[in-house]
Amino acid sequence: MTDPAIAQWQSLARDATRLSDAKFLQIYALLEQLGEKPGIAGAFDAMRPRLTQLRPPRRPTVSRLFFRPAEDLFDDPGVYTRRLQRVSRGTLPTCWKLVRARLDGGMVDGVAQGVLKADPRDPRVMARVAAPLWEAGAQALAAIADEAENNLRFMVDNFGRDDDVLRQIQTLRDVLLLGGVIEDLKQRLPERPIGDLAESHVEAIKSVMAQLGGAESPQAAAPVLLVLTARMLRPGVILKMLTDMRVTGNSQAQRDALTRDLSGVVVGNLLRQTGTMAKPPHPAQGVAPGTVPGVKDPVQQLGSLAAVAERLTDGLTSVNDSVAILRDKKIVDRVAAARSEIGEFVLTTVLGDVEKTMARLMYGSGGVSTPPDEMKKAEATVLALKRSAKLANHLGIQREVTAKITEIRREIDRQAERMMSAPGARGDPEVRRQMFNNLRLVEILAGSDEAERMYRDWNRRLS
Amino acid sequence: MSQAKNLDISPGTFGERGISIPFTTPMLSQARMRPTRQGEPEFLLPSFNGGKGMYIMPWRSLPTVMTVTLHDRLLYDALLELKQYSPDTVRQAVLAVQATGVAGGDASLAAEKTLALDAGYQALTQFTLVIELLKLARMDAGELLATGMTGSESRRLMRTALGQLGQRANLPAEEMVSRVETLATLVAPVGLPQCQQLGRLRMTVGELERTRASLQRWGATDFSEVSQLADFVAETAKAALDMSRDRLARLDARCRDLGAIAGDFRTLRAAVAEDVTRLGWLMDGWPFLIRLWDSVSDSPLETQQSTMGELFRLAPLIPVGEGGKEPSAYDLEVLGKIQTRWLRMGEDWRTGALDMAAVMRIEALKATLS
Repeated sequence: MTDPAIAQWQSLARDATRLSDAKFLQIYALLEQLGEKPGIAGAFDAMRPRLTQLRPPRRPTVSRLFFRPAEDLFDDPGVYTRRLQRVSRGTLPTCWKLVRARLDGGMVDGVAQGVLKADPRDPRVMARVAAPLWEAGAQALAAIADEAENNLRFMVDNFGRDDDVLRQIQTLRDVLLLGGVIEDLKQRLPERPIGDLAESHVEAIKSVMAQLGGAESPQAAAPVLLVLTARMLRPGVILKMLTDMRVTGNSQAQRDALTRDLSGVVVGNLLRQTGTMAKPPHPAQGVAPGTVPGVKDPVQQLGSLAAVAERLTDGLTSVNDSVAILRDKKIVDRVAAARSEIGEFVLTTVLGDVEKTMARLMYGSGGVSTPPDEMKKAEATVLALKRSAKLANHLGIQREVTAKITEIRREIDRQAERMMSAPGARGDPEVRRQMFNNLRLVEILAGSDEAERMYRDWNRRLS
Repeated sequence: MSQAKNLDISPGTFGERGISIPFTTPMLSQARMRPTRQGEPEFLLPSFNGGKGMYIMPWRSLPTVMTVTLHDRLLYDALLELKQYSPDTVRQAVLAVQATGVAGGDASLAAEKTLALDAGYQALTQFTLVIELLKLARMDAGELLATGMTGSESRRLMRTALGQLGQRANLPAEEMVSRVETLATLVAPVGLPQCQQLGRLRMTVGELERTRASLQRWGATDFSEVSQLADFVAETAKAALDMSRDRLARLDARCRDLGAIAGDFRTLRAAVAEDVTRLGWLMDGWPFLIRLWDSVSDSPLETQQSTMGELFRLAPLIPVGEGGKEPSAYDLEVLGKIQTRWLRMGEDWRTGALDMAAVMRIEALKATLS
């Protein structure tokens, strides 16, 4: 396909992002049917931020199945950062083209047939189908890396002159070699981002570490741990498991080196995400800074931003111990800087005009009680504020958060007072409804004891 | 403290098991309530960390362990006001509190709708009873079946018809009306077999049957140890279903023989009340579990496994004194260990702090319950 044709696909995909959800998904389904053609990958890149939000069911293809064990490590080209054992999505089409050429055609056809027959919702079956693909594909990737290293022409023709691609291929190969183990483990663990682990989950991780090398060779589990840390809300949990692992003899040094490497990667990734969170991944698409792509509603946006800040703060807090072990002042300083950056982000984007947003939603309709949809948004708004309040200590923004909460509490008090002093307030079911609406917000912001105290007071006045 | 409430709490009875309360505090969710001998409610909470055993606590002890939502505090106030504890009276209190909006707008709308449906279904039950009685007496129900009548017109016609039926049975009209109203109120939670629209408890039995089949299917395809929990919950459901079907058959037989309304009404009333109350106890706690399982039907396997642990923790075993199996018939220790291993605890459970996101998930489930 010619370059203009590729550009047309991308332009079409960008245009599609302006359509309604239904139309957008229709175009996505049509593009899916075209299969792996040049230009289509670029079109999907343009559509990805919105696809991430809509999460349409994806048609399994052999190439998608091939990359599945490593998908947690993929970054869009715009946000990809080197030396963090991540893989740019931009590398994948070429990788697959070269791998496909080296794979036995019969085997690939067999996998394709298996994909068609298997239930795509059953990841275990899909993993069985893909097992030969991962094994042969990992070998093919090793051969590709070898050729790229020794044949400049091959390297330049396929990947350009950037050696970083070789590191990406190495990461892919390491992960795909353990593709079956990784996919099996994913099924036994909670959905990403993984928050809390049950005893069974910890056992599952430990048994995989033991199976791969255990105390003698902790390094063997490195690709699994790399994928796991990418899936964890608090990756420090995995680092701690590694630190706590009993090792024997010479493997102590191996374990320490792995901990150091992995800590560096995890911290680096969190810092990278912190650095990019206030910036749009695709500025050309008109996404404003400090926004979550694909989320249109400003209140939803607020909630999403608070969740991002919470995730990153949680992640940074979880790696405190590992960072301390590293004894690397530079990293410690960078972590401190990242915290300050998240704090600033929360102040400007989440806290910004939160009190005005809440007042508009709660009291802007003109009626006595807030309409149900506005009430839901008001709850989501104060929940975002509450989330930020939980982070305030870690981020050093307690004073600002407290001020916002106080301002909202005052507004609730003012409005409640006005409403209850109005003639006919007693016995008006709308007043009573609004009393409970106000109490919902007080409970979220100030807790149940305070909400009960206010209920007793307001209820007495309305009875 | 209010006066002592009459609830049979002799060992191994439903009363001793307690009534499940749809609290919104995550650690209190579906706690069981029963009155002490002094009439003060106490709460039975399955072990917080997923281990075996049960905490029994009076309400005043709860704040030392956890933060309780405003909804739960108001619900507790409402429970104290009840004259008698049964799954039905508790449900009324729950709906009244939920309707205020203290558990959120969706839960409030759902409660208001349910209360309206309950009232409508009671009227429908009474209407069906009158029609059936007219049929029994070979009297013409034509006027009553006419469409486009107002509520008051329909009630007037029903009273006239009941008056005529009373005359035939040598009963004063008021007595006949009173008997039909009493029976309709008693039987409405289940519904009459002659009525095409199913009553609430009859629907729950059907839903539990569907859920049991789903649990069995899930247990047969899950190859982890959690499948044992699914088998246990499915078996618990089956025990409740077997006894419920038996009760339903008896109740339906009584309701098909409506001549007793004009005869030994006292015996009929007592028998129907017992059947309906028992069905209420047999289904108590299940609606929440049915919705909980439905809510993860499209979720990944791990989420379903984790939810299965919650179903196991809350599954309402039928007490031995009510015809259930001895606890020793199940390997509860082994099952409890499995559940503990698969339980994910949020950080807040240790501190007792309130996780509002978890509270809202429970409120969302409440909004789907009726």
